[in-house]
Amino acid sequence: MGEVVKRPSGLTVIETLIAATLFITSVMVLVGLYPASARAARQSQGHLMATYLAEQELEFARGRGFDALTDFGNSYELEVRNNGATHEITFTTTVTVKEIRAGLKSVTVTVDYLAPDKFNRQLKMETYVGSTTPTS
Amino acid sequence: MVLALLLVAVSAVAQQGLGTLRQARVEESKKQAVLAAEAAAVDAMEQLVSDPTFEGPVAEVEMDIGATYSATILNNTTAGGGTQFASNGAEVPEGCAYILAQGEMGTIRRQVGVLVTRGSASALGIAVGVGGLVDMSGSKRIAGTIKANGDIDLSGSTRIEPLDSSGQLLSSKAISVSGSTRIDDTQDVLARNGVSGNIRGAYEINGSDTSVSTEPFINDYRTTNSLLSGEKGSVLPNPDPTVLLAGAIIYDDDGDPLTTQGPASPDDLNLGGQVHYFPYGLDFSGSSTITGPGTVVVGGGYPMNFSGSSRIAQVNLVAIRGSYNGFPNTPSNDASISLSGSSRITGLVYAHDGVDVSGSFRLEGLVIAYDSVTGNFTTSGSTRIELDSTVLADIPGFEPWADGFGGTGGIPAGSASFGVVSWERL
Repeated sequence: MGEVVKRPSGLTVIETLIAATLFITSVMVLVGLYPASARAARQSQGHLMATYLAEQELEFARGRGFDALTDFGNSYELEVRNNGATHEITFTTTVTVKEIRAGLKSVTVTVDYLAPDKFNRQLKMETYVGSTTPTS
Repeated sequence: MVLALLLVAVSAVAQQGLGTLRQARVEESKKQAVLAAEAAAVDAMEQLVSDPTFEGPVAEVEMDIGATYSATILNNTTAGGGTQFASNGAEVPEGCAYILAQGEMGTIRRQVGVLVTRGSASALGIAVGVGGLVDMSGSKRIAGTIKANGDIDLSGSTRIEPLDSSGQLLSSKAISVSGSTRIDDTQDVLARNGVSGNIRGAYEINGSDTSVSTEPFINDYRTTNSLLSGEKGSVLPNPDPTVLLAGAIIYDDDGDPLTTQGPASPDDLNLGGQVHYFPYGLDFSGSSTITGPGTVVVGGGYPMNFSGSSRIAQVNLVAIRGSYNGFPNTPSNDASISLSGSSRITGLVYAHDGVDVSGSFRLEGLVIAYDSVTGNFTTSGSTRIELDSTVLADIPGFEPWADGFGGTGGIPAGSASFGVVSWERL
């Protein structure tokens, strides 16, 4: 009878290396994704702030009343907080008024800002104001 | 197993970041859709202002930003319609219109429902409406709004009180006050060329106003209470002389025949509910009494003068430039009213060329001085005016202004032909 060679239990060096590589790669991907995800979160916060600012500027425009409605602009420095880190973003708003017809004007707000990802972003919102539009 | 857990963790982290960004963009689209719907409502309201019978719809409009809007209208402003219901079930009472406006941004749609009513903002509450300037000295108390195309100068003690929510000081030029001046905290002081002096109270004091409130009265001698296309503001009343004098009792200085030119100086007058026309002017002196109801008119640009103590109950005083039945042939263009001494009047005091009051003056009604150059209102002495705009409804030729100055059907176009009852985001 031939001698039975019993394979020792456990992983071979090769298997261990492959498993370790996969684990390390995954962890690296995870670690790498985390800042990207945090950046996206900050970006979304910047976007939301730009949206609210645009809405606020439109309310200002309405409050001026139809006859006094002309182009104007503002600059705002606001803080964005995310996971304990704070970033300051400068938002520049430009309100452009265009007459659609007698008694009706289009008001467009453009919000420009340098997003946390260091890209210039822009958001636009538009509504109409009429000579009978309530101001509040 | 470990790998699976790691994959789940990786995807969760990625999802979180991307999800919040997507959410922010959705939020932007939602707000833009609401703004587009509001634009539709505003568009529809403007069309209703231009044409109160407008029944829509407002066809789809693409805004510069890419959002679109449209609106449907249930116009129930025609009398006799009873309560109706809009397509979304909203109740639209008689006299109202309902705008169901929708805006779309991408795949997101939002609606706004606006209920408006005609005429709610029609009562301008003008106690003193002047085409020229206002110059008031002495102690004065006015319940209602003072509005002038020219300057308003107030000296001495001034108190402006709100009556039916109107007690403002409005000038298309400048306002200057000296002495104690008090305005109610709910009321505005607005002028286009500055406000000077110390004013207590007032909700807003603005010397650079450009709103429709300080838009000059339209006083180009039109005899209709309606605006031409593109006009703003309100039309000062100007009666058609043929309507005003159609059933008038006509006087000259000595009765019939109507040939002698010169102001009449009658004794006490009992008007008996009629219009009494003095084509060559009128002089009252001493302690005179005119008993109403009724209307006293001087025409041809001649003045109406009262001196002494006048008690003029339920009487309207009207001085117009227009002539009647061909006389007088040469109007003097001094269609003014002058009151000196103590005057107590209930009714309208109206002159094309100015109203001048000296001494104590009590008025329940309103004062109108029409002309841009000569239509001034000046007072000295103690003055008390309490607005009662209903007097206009009883004077022939003034009825179109009974519900307000300017616009269709007495509605002050350019300000708010339709008052907003409710404005809801649905």
